[in-house]
Amino acid sequence: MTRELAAGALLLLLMAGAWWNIHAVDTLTGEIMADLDASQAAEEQGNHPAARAALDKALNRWLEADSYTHIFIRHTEIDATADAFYALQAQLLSGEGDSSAAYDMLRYHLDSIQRMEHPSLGSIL
Amino acid sequence: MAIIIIRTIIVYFSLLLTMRLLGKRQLGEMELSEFVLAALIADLAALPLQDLGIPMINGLVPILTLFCCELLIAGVCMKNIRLRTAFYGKPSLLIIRGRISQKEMHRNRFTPDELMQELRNQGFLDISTVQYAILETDGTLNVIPFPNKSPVTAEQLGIDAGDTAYPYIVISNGRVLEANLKHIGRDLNWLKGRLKSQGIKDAGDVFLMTADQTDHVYLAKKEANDDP
Repeated sequence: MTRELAAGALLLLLMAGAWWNIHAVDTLTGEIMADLDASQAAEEQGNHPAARAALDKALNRWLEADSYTHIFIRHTEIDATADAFYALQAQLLSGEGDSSAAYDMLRYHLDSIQRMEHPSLGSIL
Repeated sequence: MAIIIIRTIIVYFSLLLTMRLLGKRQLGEMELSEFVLAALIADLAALPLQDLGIPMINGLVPILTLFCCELLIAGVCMKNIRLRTAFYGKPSLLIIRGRISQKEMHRNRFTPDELMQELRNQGFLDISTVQYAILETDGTLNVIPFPNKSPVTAEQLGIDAGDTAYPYIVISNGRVLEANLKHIGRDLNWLKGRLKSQGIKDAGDVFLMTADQTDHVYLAKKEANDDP
């Protein structure tokens, strides 16, 4: 009976870990999305330094979470998100063209990471 | 992570159900849940090893989940006979009192050829000598012959067969296993004496020596090494 109880406890622990992971990924992507919103708003108002600063803040958040992301997120997703970050950063630095597509691409990757961890009929099946 | 856990549980129970419906023939001396576990774990463990882009945790979480499921199911089945039957099935009598149960054969997808093959594996060439053939939940076939076709026992013949004891290995490839000597209540002095009586000076010259508590000894010397 002890082994069964231990197995049940371990399963509960795994589920608690999964719940914590959903919370962690929501927090991380939520904070980055908020920085991106601020960056895009500044960019649209023509305040390029503020847009770049907000983007750098978002990028730093992403890079600081490296130990978490590499344990829990597929590395292909991490690479794709990092690529989208640097593409947007390059676009803002050059100051040429419309950067909204680059913002959308980065949001798409972050949204994909966030959705990937949320259990839903679509994600499970 | 949550998705991995849910997916693992779904796949585990789907495989259990599928294998349960396929019948016992597929199992090959494993219980159903053990078979499912073995089939899944090998692949799951290989995933993060084959693709370094997959986090290790994606391989470990499903393995731990399966481990928990297996322990919980085994525990529940120990307590509840109905659940045990639901998960593992129950033994099927393919031959009852010498008569083949075609219904059970069909239910377990057992062909006459396979039945004959299994009987031959058990040393029964003539099916008419078989009183019962039971397909166990782990897929093995147990065969019970008619009493008048069964081998005669020493008891039936009124012979005293003597006591049999378990033979322990006391020397393995020249190495003395002192713990096994203790099991049979002997010591190194006894061993030296037995070796001396066989004309052997050193335990290193012995390839295999077994002994039991009734003092029965088997001894095989090392072959001479002809290599230069």
